[in-house]
Amino acid sequence: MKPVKMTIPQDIGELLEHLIWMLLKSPKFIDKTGRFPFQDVEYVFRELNEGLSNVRPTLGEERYHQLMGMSDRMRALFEADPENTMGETRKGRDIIHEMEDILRQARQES
Amino acid sequence: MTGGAEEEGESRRSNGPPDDYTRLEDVFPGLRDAPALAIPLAPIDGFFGVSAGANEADLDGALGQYWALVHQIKQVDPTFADEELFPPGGIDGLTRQGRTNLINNLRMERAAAYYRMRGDVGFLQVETLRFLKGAVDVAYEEAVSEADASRLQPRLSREEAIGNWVDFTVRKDLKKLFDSFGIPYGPGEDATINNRDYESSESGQSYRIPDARIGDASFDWTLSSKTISAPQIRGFFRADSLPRAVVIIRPSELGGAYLIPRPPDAWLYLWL
Repeated sequence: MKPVKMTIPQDIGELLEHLIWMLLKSPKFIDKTGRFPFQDVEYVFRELNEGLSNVRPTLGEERYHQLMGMSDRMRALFEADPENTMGETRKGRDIIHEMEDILRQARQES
Repeated sequence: MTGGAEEEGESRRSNGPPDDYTRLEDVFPGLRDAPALAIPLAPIDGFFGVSAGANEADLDGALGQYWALVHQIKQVDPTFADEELFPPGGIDGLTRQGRTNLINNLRMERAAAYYRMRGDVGFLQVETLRFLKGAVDVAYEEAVSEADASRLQPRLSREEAIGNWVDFTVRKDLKKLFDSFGIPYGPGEDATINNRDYESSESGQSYRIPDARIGDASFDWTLSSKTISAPQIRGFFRADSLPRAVVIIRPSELGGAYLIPRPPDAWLYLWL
């Protein structure tokens, strides 16, 4: 199949936008428009992690690794509760809010 | 005028909808001789409706459209590789929805090719409208479902929370669409998504932020009905980009899409 160009966040503002979108579309991130059949958990977290990589210099090493760890934990929670019936999705969404706070703080400090 | 529009001119039926939609005038026939009264124009029957997908559902129709679109794209971009789009099991192995998606993707490829290679925004305006209509309906349905389950922001009214959901997710979807088809957008481009559209005047510079603008058409997805009497809409028309139309996309359940043609300039300042 033709490779798809991803929408990778380029700055902290776009990362925050991506996280809010993840909040709305979690835990499965299924596209219902029919236009993005490639969109799944793997794809969405690649966008997030590559976005974090893009702003690594702004975040600093400690915060970058903290956020990457949170991303991994969040993914595991969403994958463990794909139907949003076990409470793990809620915990994953709480992590999104924590990541938002950290990113906003990083933006203020930069 | 581009090759694509010239080629399909011969195949148009004398009555009814065109065989293909290449310009906003094909979707909103009233725009051809808009009397500059800013009266909202409805889309032609069949552009959004079930009949628009009828050909895709029919195998021969889908194959015919597939090869016609590939031919048109290759005329503009000889490097276009349609083999990557053709499904491994052939079109006959696809579901009805799968065929519709395949044809929609090719239409978008055509729009992207005309825009990138020739700077022609006509196809892109039409295909963006087609995409937005579906995306707005999906987002609205999702948001209503979330609201019914009391999962939207409690600090906002139901309508505000649904409106925010639709606004945000559709914006993100449009960015994904343009990225996935390699369509450049942003400040300084002919296609923008949630960027400033400046208005220069003797007193200085101000701006509006349309949800999207493609060439000379602004797009606004919204729950509420808007007309030329809305300051926001008049502001869109006053921009230096001189839009000839503002396309409003509402969820189908609330009334659907319509187009507001550019009014006489004097109208834009009447209510100031």
